[in-house]
Amino acid sequence: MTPDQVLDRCRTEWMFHDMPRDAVDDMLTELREHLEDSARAGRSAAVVVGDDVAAFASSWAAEHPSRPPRNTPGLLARHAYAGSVALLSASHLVGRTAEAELVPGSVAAVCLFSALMTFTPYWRAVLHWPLWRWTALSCTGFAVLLALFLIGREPVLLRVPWWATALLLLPGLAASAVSWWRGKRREHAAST
Amino acid sequence: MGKEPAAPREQRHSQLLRGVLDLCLLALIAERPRFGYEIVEALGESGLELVSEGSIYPLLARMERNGLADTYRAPSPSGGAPRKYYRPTEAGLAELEAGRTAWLAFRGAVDQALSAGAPTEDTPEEGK
Repeated sequence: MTPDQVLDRCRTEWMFHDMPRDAVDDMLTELREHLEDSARAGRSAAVVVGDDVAAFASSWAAEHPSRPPRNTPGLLARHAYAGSVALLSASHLVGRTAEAELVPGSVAAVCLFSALMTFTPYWRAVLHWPLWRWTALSCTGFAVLLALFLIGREPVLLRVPWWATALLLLPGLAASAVSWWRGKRREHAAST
Repeated sequence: MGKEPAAPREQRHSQLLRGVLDLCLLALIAERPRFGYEIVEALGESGLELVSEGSIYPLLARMERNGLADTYRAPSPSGGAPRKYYRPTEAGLAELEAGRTAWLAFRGAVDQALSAGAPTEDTPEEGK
């Protein structure tokens, strides 16, 4: 693994561990300097970070003073919200219907999605797995979802009209806009 | 019952170092403020080779989080971009002193335990 690949992996880990941007930049600078010094001494990047880069980056993030405390209920709620909105939107768009049906299968799918997103390092699979493993995971996920909807398609718990889905989407859009605006403001402050 | 295979020397060395690495780091930055790579080099010069050099960073971060060390950026003697230097706080120096005392007591106890089974000059060798 080249130093740039190591730095890229570490950046991903730290961002998905919700480390503040300033702390990530600081850690990357420190690690880059160390990798450069080691390279000058004829040592490889693996000598610095070991065989498991993700474990190295995670352990550093876990000890860092800037790491925000993990808010598991909050994370679960955010992922459940995102999963619900995505599922309802997909029901309207794919089914071309003004009314999406909420069934036990969809509740189970949202719960599964939230749990996976909250308790697993999913980004490692998304960004770093080889294609064959990623394809296998996608097929398994699709099969599980299909089974959930076949088993739990009745009874209909709730019928959600399109305008309710649109209303539900609004807080997420507002939060994304605020986050984008804050990022722009931070970039502007850093450049001046 | 079969005998356990002897642990390789490096593995034993690594296990022993893991327990005292934080104290070694505190001692090195107490000697003078150092940046990460300098700390690794100083450890190497003392004969303490790390399995992965970067393993010092989680420990340094923990020390910083626990108020035992703080950091500042300054140019390195060899020039180039400013480096992140670590130095102990008052609490860090107190922790180092307590750690030294604990280590000396522990080392004495281990020396005593190990010397119990060690061959001495008076011990007659088998077959002679």
